[in-house]
Amino acid sequence: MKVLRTLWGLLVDDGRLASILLVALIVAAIVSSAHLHLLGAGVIWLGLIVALWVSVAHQWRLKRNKTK
Amino acid sequence: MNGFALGSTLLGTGVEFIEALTIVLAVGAVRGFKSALLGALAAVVLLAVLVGIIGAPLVSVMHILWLQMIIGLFMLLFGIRWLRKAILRYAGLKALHNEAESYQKELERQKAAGKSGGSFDRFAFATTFGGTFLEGLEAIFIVLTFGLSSHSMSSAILGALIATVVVVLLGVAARRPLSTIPENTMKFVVGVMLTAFGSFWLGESFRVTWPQGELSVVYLVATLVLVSLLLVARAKRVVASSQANIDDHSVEVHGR
Repeated sequence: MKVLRTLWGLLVDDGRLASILLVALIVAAIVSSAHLHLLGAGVIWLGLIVALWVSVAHQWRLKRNKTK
Repeated sequence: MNGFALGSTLLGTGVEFIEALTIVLAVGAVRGFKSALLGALAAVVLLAVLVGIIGAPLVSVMHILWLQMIIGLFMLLFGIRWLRKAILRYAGLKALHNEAESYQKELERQKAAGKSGGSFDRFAFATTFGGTFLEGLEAIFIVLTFGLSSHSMSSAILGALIATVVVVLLGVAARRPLSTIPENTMKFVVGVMLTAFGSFWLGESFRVTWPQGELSVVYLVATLVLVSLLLVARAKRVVASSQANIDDHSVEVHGR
């Protein structure tokens, strides 16, 4: 139960980060199963960057809107 | 003695052991070495028992892809969460962790709970257990492959033993310098490491083709560091301009 709560905590900590990452992983798995193995690696790579960027950018937008 | 089997196993298992050592050192430096080392030791003992019971057929018995998927997902989720928090702290979007204050709080919490310090850290244990188990399993595959193909299992085992001693000595030497690194920097490094290893293993479990194999972990680390530095620089500019807005506003209010 505690493990599930920890995992849920990870997901709700930042929904954007978790959902983009999850989509990237699913796409990578599908692409790789379609024998596009190198593209699969690229999707994971790109997914990491986009997920991080969107998550942190959301935080600085919140900060900017608060001070306007 | 077979030089080819010894050399190949020494290099092959050396790479795997260094990867495991990186995880143990990084997690140990942030969460405490006691639980981190216990996790690694538990993985080594379990692997030794498995090899003792099953022997060479272990290669076909263990489904490494499932292990990579489960351990990789666990590491990726924890790693990227830490990395995000470290970026936010560097950029000033989140308050820096006050180490002295949190140490005092932890001490008080343990006193209230009637515990005597050095508590067991499940996260550190699980992370180093997973990492060491996976890398150890790969090292066993290397030993078995080279040992069986060269008909010289003793040379392959000797190569792995030498690699073990070298990597353990490296770990002992690197432990002290690591303890002097600030907490947020250490968390940043651990976040990058766990994210890189986690995504690499998840990719392996999906059978993606990583360019230049395990060297891709280095490329992933480099990409994550670069993106993080860009994010910190950009976020710092936003924080600075927001602060300037607040200052302008307060000057206007006081001027009236």
